[in-house]
Amino acid sequence: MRNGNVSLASVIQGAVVAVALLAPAAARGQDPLHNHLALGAAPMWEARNDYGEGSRMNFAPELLGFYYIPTSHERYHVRVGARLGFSGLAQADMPTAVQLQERDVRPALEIGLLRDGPVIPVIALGVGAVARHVALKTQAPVSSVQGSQGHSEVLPRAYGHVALGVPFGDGRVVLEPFGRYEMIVGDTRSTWRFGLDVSVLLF
Amino acid sequence: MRNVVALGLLMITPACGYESDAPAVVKAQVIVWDGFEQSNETTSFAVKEETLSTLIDFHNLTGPNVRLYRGGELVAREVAGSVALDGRLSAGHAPQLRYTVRGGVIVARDYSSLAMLSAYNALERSFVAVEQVLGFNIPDLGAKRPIDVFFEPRVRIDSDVSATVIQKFNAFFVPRAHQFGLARRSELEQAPLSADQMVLTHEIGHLVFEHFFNANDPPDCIDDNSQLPARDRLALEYAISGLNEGMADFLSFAVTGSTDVLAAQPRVKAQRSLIKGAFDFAAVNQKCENSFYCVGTVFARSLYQAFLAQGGVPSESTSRGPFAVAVIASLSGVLDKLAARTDLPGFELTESQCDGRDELFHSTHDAPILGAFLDTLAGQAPPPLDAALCAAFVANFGNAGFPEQVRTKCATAM
Repeated sequence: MRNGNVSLASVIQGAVVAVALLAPAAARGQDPLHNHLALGAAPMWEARNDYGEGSRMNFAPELLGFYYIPTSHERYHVRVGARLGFSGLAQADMPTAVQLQERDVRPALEIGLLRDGPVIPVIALGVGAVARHVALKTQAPVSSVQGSQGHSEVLPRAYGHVALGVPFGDGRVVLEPFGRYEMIVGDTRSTWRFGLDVSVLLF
Repeated sequence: MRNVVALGLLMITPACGYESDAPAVVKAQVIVWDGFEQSNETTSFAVKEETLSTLIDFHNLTGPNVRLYRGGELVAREVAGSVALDGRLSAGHAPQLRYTVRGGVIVARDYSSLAMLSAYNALERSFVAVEQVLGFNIPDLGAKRPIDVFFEPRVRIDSDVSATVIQKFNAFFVPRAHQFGLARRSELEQAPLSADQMVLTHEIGHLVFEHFFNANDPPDCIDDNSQLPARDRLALEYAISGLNEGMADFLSFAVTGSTDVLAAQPRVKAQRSLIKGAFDFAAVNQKCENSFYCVGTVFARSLYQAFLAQGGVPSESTSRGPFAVAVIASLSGVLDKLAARTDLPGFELTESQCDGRDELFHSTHDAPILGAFLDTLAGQAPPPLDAALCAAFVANFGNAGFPEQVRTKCATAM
């Protein structure tokens, strides 16, 4: 019985600590008079039509930085973001003897608006580029290559981004599941992206 | 011709948006099959800048023999090897090529575009080669041209009990609609099947078999297999499916000179060589793992050995072509003669409709059908080809696959 009471107390204590940690602090708007900077990363997947019929989920993670600017309204912040994405860590299925491997670096700048609170809805628009290198890789029984061995290209892109952030640790860490509709000029194979922004407040 | 191409390119330019203007004469970097070395059964490919001289409509990758669609879907009740026994391909899209132009040469910007350009080129070359070596063009085979070819379509098996999307790893032929499918690529492929003229010519071989054996009247799938006409039910037999594959392999040899249709695919455990390895029909179940394809290999080897016995020179297409044409011509009417026989085993109902196949190999069922086919085929061949075929069939199929009691022509021709 005693053991049972101790156990119950521990559970309650743990729950209190957890609630405290997860408490919806006013996220990054605790100090609405100052700007804030956060850095982070985002695992992201895009449904890309790499085959005749059907698509695959292409993993394209991003590094990110957010700069929060207070507005005249206490709960609303403008968020200026910078992202640097990568694609090509996993390639579409191709025959082993001849492959066109695509590797991207994808910088972008975005501007968004968020409302601080227990959860943080965000809406943003972004522009950027895809710097892509396409490399022709061959092996036996492909014995020779005439002409291009690959090429590089830079493709403009723009996107709309919606997210719902959940602050942790007094707002120092925010997990932000997002959906994004993106258009890359000259590459319509994928439009929708899904991921999770994880950002840590620096100041 | 050049004007037509130029007009086509003018029409697509606004649609391409970002794409650079394509040149008037379309030269593209493509994957090209580079021949087969018979001495060691090896093959090679190259990435080359080729002029797509037959191209009529670049936007739709259409030439005199082939129109290529991207995607689409095959809905069929049964697929036997590389032949979809019923159904048809539909809902394909325009190729949506992504390319850039460098020095007047179209260079693909992604693998799908490279593969579609390569497939178009390889298919056109294959049809031209079939016409050069065998003398058949597409209308001769009872089909309309251009033939519709679907690049990486979805394949859905729609049986009575369920619909299942399956992943196929090869090229395939749809007889009723006279269409070809290039199944979605995989890492099982070493060289791309869609650019492999040995494989593509094998598929054209199914078109030839369809014309000469089935007289362009493929079997129907009906709810009650027992109600199938004799002709249709024989065409659905497991053994016949194997012979179809074997004939296609042999026609690929006749046109390309390749004695191993899958020489570029070492990861696919197939025993398709007409020379290497040795298993006769009796050993099929023990020494070969590719079900009815093994019967096809025994059949194709028999034809190859008859070709050599007739003094054929494997390296010369002028030697291979006439022999193959004589064998193909002997196929005409074989199905009707089989259907008229009363000594063949009855149809065995299996789980699904449109599937007359049994597990490999039921000696009392498949062997009489095989034997009757072989005997009838040899019986229709002109001398001395008939004797050469009989000798090769008896040597490779033996009594197990070519029972003495069904031999009539081959009982006397040897």
